Order: sequence, then structure tokens, then C-alpha cells
Amino acid sequence: MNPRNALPETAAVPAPPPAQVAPLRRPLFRKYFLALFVAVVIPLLISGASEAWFGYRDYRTMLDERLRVEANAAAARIREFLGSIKEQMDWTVQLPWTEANTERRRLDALRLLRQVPAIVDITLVDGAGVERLKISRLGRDVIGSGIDRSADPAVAGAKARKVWYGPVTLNRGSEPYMTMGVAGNRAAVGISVAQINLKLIWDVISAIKVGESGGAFVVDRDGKLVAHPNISLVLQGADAKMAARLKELQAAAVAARGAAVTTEDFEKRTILVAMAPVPGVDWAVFASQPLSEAFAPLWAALWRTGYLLLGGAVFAVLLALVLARRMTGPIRVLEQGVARIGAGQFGHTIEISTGDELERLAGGVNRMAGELALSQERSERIARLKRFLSPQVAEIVEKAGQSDLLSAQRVEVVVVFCDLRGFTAFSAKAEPEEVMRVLGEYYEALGAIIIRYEATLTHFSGDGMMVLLNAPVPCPDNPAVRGVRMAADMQAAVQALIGAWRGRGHTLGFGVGLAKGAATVGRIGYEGRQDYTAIGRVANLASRLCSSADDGQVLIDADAASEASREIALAPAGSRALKGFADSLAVYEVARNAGAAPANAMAATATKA
Amino acid sequence: MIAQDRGVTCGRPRRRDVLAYCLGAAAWPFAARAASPPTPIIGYLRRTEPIPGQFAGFREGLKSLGLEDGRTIRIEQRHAGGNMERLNAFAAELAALDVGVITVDGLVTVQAAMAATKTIPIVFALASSPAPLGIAHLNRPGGNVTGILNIISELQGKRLELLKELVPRLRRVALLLNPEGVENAGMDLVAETAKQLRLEIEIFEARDFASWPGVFAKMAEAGIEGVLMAGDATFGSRPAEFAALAAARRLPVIYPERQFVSAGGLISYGPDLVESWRQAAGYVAKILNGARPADLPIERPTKFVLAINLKASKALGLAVPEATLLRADEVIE
Repeated sequence: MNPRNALPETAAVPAPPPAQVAPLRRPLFRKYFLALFVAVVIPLLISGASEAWFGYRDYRTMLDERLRVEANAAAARIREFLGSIKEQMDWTVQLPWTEANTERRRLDALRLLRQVPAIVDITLVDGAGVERLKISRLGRDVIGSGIDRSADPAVAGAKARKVWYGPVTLNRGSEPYMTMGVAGNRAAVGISVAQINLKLIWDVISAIKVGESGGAFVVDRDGKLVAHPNISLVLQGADAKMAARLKELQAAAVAARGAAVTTEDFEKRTILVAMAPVPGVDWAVFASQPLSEAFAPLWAALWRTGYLLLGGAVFAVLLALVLARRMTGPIRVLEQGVARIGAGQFGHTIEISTGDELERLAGGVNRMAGELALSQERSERIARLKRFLSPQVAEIVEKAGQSDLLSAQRVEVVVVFCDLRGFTAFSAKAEPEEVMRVLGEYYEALGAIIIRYEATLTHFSGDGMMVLLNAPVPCPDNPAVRGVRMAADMQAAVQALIGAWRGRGHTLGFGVGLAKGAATVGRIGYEGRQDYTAIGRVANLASRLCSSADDGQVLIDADAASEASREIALAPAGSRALKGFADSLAVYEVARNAGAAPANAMAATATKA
Repeated sequence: MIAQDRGVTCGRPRRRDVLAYCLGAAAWPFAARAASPPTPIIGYLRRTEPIPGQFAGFREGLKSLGLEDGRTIRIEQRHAGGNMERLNAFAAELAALDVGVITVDGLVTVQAAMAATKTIPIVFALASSPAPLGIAHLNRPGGNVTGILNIISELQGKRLELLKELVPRLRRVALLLNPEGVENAGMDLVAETAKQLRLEIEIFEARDFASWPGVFAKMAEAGIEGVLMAGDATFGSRPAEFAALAAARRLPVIYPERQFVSAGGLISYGPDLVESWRQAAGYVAKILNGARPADLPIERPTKFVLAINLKASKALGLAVPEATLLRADEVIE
């Protein structure tokens, strides 16, 4: 049976209000959401962080390398600058000195000044260390001064080492000057000593560019700035504090062994510098780049990574939301559906079409609800039957699905009436609790027997009771025999009780009447309260027989007796005039001593059946 | 300091413009605002009449540093034409204009500008020495004045030597100067060199253009064989006239700057003044960017030009010696 089609009206019943559901300690949605979010974001973060870290390291290495290359290139250019001066000076120390060639040497020197603008003046000394010639750009030229220059450090230095570089001095406290001595191949050619204006290195140093705004600068062994793109800094001259700082920087760069170091430049910007030495003059060339500029591409990359991470996180949130909702949405629907079904709305259908296990589960629940509906209907029907049928009969009726057994029909039945004698007087004087207790014991005893004989209890009122046999379910054996046996058992059981009651001071008796005949059977009553009963002469007869019976007596009509007497010992009880019956009727009773034993045997076979 | 305020606004417009272009149309109000700060004004004050080559050098120097006259900066030119009163009046006018920096030629103009302002930075391009300005140290001038020296007087000895080399028979030499100028220091050096070279020195004074023919007549009268020109801006304003007068009197003259040689003069030795003006532009840019003139070292020239006019030497019947030709950076034939 498909409840969806059968009971569409129940679907309209509103769902139980969600307020009655206790809040969850750890809702599934949150769990799924967190799990999915974390599953996406954590790897994202790890990859982002590692990328940033390795990116930084590689970039820093690359920067170091680049600045070192720049510093080396700048140092090479400075060396080239000095080397070209030395090369030009070599021309002046090629011929040995004679008196005759002084004029020629003068022209050589003049040529040198034309070739090398950085030379301020040049002094030519002969092999003996005597000054022969001095040519100057600013001052007067001096020829043959004859001054002994052999003790001059430039002359002595050049004599010893072919090339001699003097310390950097400041001309007029501003321009950096350096003396350079160059000796020829032989002592006789003498030595050439030149004053060099190092301001002209500016042409070289200002041409060096590192990145957008980086550059190079040169520092001598005393920490004096020799060359800088900002010539003003060089010309500002000696400053002990700056010299100390530059020497410190030099030491730091040496300690860093090729790696770049961070420092502050003259304009208080943080810069990254790498150093390369200039051998011979013992200078250091620094290539520098502002830190902000050097790291700008890295920052850009980091920002990009950051944005990607953020985007990824947002995506993860959305993804987690969608997935968690997909996961928990059907579960909620299921939960609500189960709650409705639990509340008795078996017609409720859980609508899930996710195509997965959840849909299957919903289908299962729906089927279960349908079966629950069926089973409830059935149990309701059984409960209805059990009201007048013994449980076994009710089961049989239910199993057979023959609810129409209860419909009206005319059948041959055995009707048994019984009641207590003296009950009215007893109930009037006894305590209500005692009355109810007696009645309880009485019905308990009788009920057990009725159930055992699979008889149908049609109704009881007060101490009286009407029991039907062969309807609505036909008896498997002779209903008269069965009825007589049951009546005898009832009598025996109640007599036992009467004995006990007597002990409690109650004087009560019990009589039973039994008749067999055709009767109309069926349900009577109204909606919600219905009884199954038998109507006809046989019911009246049984009732009259019961009234007529003495305590301990079971009166049986002739029809029943003729059938029962074949198996049970019956005794005629004479002929009685009964109310409502025109003629007096022949009546029988169960022989008093022949009641108990065969009745028990009969009961055993009955239950087996 | 005014100069610093100006300096801040000066260097930025270009960068901001670029930024504004990058930001696109949405940012146009900012771009409009960024472009609106007042254009820095540069005062250009000269004692004489204009000397076109030098001003062009200055303008070019500024342009190469991103300061273009009429666009990012404005140059206010004032030429006193040799008139001291006008010079002082112009100096006061430029100071009142509240210019970002005043660029001047030589010492006389520096002093006029210094009298007009104690705060506006002054950059000189042609001063002979810092001593008359009360500046002791080249590396830290300390006041509101800095610039480029032309060391004109420091080279007078060398010039005398070069004149003697070119004219070996030289004995009587005239030192021509303007008594109104203060560029005449270095007299001692001239005297000493003259002694060593066995030359007689006679001083001749010329105040203005009008007095030149008279001075030349006097020189001829005195038997002068060569002339050493002292540095003074009044001479430089009319180089061709001067060279013509010298040629007419058949007098060899050594000049401090090459413009006289290009105008027909015989020989010159000294720094390249066009280059000096280009350097002065660098000072102006630094000051407009916020540098204090007190911290900007005064620079000495590093390049010296010897120019010789072979036409003039031929006219004088001079055989130019090899040494002179070797020294010459520029030979006009």
C-alpha cells in the first residue's frame, strides 16, 4: 500500500513546531562546514606561506647576487678609470733623460694633460730622483727646478712598486685628490707623479645605475667618501662621524662575505648594499639600492599571493557552505519527516531527491511509515475485535482479514447466561471496595474460562454476563458440547469462589442458563461504541433458564441437551414454565458430580485446536 | 625655509601626473589639484646685458633635470646692463617676488642679491673666489649662498705664461680691469709670475664699453705688447667689439673665456662658462628639491678650455708654438 496515494490529506497536517527540538550541542552543519573550510584553507595557507617564504629566500639570494655583480662591475669601472690614467702616464716614462730631450718630454706631458682631464698637474722626475719638469693646469709650468724628489713618498713608492697610489686628500677641504706615481721599465726613464682630481670619477660613478634609483659609491681605506652620485656629499669633505659609519659599513660588508647588508643612506632611507674591493688603491665600491625598491617586486608577489589566499578562503567558505548545506539539508528534511511520522503522521512523505544514500534512506523511512500506518490500522482493528472476541479468535479473524464476520447474519448459536444470586442484597450492604473486589475475582475467573473456550463475550452488566458460541467464528467442534462444558467449568470456578466469599461473610450463589438455536448476530450500537450480540428466542431462553437456575445449577434447554448428552452426563431437571414462553419447557441440568473431570480434558483439546 | 617649501612642490608634479594617468579618469580631480601648486619661480639676475650662450646653457641644464621653463618652473630674467643701481633694484624686485632661488653671475651680483635677501637661496655661476663673500669653507658655505667658482684670478698667472709662450718677445704687458668689479684679486699672482717671466705689468682700467677705444689708445701710447684681461662681466657683454679693437691696435690679448676667441680674439684659457651655468642648474634643482644652500659645497671648475684663433694669430704675425697647439682644446682656423 502506498501511503502517498492513500492518505494525501495527512500531508497537509502542519509539521511539529521546530521550537520543541532541543538545540544541538554540535550541529552537523557546523561540523561539515568547518571540516570542508579547513580542508580547503589549511593546504591553501600552507602552500601560500611556504611559497612566500621560499620566494623571499630566493629573492633575497637573487638580490644579493645582483648587488654583488653590480658592485663588482662598478669596482671594475673604477679600476678601469685608474688603469687608463696609469696607462697614459706610462707614455711619459719611456725614454731615458738627457739634456736634449727635455722639450720633447714637456710636449709628452702636455699631451698627457690633454688626454687625461683628471690630472691636475704632473711632475717628471729623472732616474736620480731629481725633478726635471712640472706641468700644471692651474699654476705655472716649471722646467728644470732641480729639486730632489727622491724622498717623496710617491717617487719612492713608484720606484719600489712601479705604481704607487697615495692616500685620498681633500684639496681646499673639498675636492678629493690623489697622488699617483708611475715608474718606467728602467730606472733611467725616471718617474712620473701626477695629482689626480678624483671628482672626475663622478662621470663614471653617476653612470652606474642599480635598478630605478640605486647606484654606487666609493669609500677609501679611511672611510672617506671618494665618489658618490651626489657630488655634494663628496665635496662636503671629511666628517669623522660619517667616516666611522662608512668604515663600520665596510666591516659589516666584509663580515657578510658577499651577501648584501642593510644600512641607512645619507638621506635616511634604508638601503641594501654589497661591496667589492678595488685592489691597489685599497678602496671599497658599494652598490646600493633602496630596500623599498629592491623588495618592491617581492612585495607585489606577496600581495598577489595574499589576494589569492583571500580569494581561496572566500571560495572555501562558499564551497563549504554549499556542500554542508547539501549534506545537512536532506538530513534536516529527514529529521523533520521522522519527527512527523513519530508524531503519528504516517501519511507524511519525506521528499529527497539527491540521488544518493540519503534519498534511499528517505525512501526507506517513507516505506516504514507506510507499514507503520498499516500496522496501526491493523492493531486498531484487532483492538476493536478483542472487545468481544477472545484474543485467539480476534487474531484469527484479523489474520483471515474477515472483518465481515462481524456483519449481521442468522446462525445457529449457543447462548450462555450466568449471574450471581443474592448479589443485589450483598452490594447494598457491603463496602464498595469489597463489592468491586468480589466482582473482580468473579470476572477474572470467568474471563479466563471464556478465553479458554474461545467464546464470544457479548456483554456484561453488574454480576450478569452473556456469552456466545459458534459466532462470529464457527466452533471447530459441537458448539452445544463446548457450551455445556464451559458452563460447567464456570459453575465449578464460581462455586470455588463462593466458598472463599463465604469465609469472608458473603452469602452469594451462582446460576447458569444455556440454550441453543438460531439467532440473528451482528454489531449493534453507535459510532465509537459497538457491541456484538445475538438476538432471538434462543437468547431469551438462555436468559430465562439462567434466572430459573438455582445456585450451583446449570440449566440447559432441550435442543442443546440432546446434542450435549451424547458426551456429557446430563440430568433432566423437569419441565418449567418460563416467562415469555407459552408452554412449559423441558429443562436439563449438568449432573452435579460429572462436571469437573471431563470438562478439563475438553478444555485441553479445545486449546490445542 | 621658503626654498624648501618650494622644493617639495617642485619635484613632485611629474610623478603625480604619471600617477594620475595611471589611476585614470576617476582620479581626475586629484590630478587637477596635484597640477595646481604654484610653479616655482627662478630668478636669473645678471649685471650686464644678456650673454645668450650662457643663459641657454642654464636653461638646458634645468630642462635635463626635469625643470622646464614655462611648464614646471618659471624663470624671471633681469639684466642690469652694467648699471649698479638697476642691479640693486632688480635684486630687490626678485626678492620681493619671493622666488625659490636667485641665480646670479659674478661677485658683484652676488653681493647685490645678498643685500636684497638673507633667506632666499642664491646660486652663483661665475664668482672668482668665495673670500669676498665671507665664505671660509668651500665644503660648507653655511649661508644662503653657494655656486660654482670660475677661479678667474687664480688662473691669471697661467694666462700670463701662456701669452708669453705664444708671444716670446713679450715684455710690456697691460692688465686690463674694471675698477668697479671685485674680480680683480690675484694681482699678487700676476706680479709674481711677471717677475719670473721678466715681464713688466701696467694696469689699465675700463669702466664701460664707451671707454674701451680710449684705453686701447693709451695702451698703444705706452708701448704695450700684450694684454691680460681681468675677469669682469662688462667685457664679456661685447666680445666682438673688444676683439676688433684689439685687432685694430695689433695687440695680442689673452682672454679668460673662449667666447672672445670665437668672436675673433686671439687666445683664451679658463673654465667653460656655459658648462658652469649648466652646473648652476644642478644647484637650483637640488635647492628646489629641498636641499639647503648652506650644505651644498661650492664647486671649483674641473675642465679648462684653451681656445686659440689661428686667423687672429696670423694677422698678428705670430707663429703658434707646438706646445700651445698641444694645450689647445679648441683651435679656430
